[in-house]
Amino acid sequence: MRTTQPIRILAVEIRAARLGYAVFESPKRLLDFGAAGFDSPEAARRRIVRLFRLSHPSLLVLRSASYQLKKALVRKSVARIVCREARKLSIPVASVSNIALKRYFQVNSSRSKYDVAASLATRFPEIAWRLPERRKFYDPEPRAMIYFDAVVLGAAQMDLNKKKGSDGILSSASK
Amino acid sequence: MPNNLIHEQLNKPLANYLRAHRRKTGLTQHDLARVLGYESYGAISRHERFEVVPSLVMALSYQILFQVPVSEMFAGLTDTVEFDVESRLAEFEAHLGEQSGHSPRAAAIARKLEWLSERRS
Repeated sequence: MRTTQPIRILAVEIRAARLGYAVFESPKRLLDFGAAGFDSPEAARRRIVRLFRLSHPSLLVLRSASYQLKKALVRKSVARIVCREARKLSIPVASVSNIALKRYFQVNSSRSKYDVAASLATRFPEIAWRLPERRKFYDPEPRAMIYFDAVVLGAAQMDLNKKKGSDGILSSASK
Repeated sequence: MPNNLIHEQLNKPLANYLRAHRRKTGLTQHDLARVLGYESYGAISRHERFEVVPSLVMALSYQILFQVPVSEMFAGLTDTVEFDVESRLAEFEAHLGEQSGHSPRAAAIARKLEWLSERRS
């Protein structure tokens, strides 16, 4: 019988009408990734509950509330809903700040989102086939980028946590 | 699924990793249903959502398809079955131990106890 208990991390990247997600299992396995659209906070709640049921996470990781989140009311309210649903299931919530993310990727010598996505594709071959082409400045952001944004969150949480040697929670969210 | 059941499973392996293996390949549930001989993707979805345990034939089909052993792909289920069988074996061993001294089939019981001991070591 197994002696080590797997720890699953669900990283959720919230946008105005979509949320991207990535599920990791310790030590460093990317189990699942994807995106789900929503047209109301209730639809977002249903999506996140479904994700919890599919992945049984031990830790939920969100991007911490930033200036952007304050500006975007939908994103902020969805983040609040996600945290509330996690609390109902006693799932701890960790948040990674944008500054911590930037610092993390500077250390890994990644300059843009696309460099970051490319380095993640090397690290997690499971997602490599979704790597979008580098866009021209006049093109919109590729839809697949949201997967990588979610993977970034989870990967940063795992690595920053390893450096800290703590139990996986950088800062408890109090959204 | 009730909330307390979800919470109990947070630190255990998932009942199965079918979705993870499928996502890695890039196959959709439709593709998988077609390859495995289902008419619709509903069955695949139910397997992935842990609602239905696939039949032995289907489990072996998944093994052949993803080239991953069944016990690895159904890690959580394997743990549950292992725990149940080990518990029942321990009960059975205790039952045999009670009978061993005065049974007319003492030799057979001794052999069973010996096998149980070998199995543990």
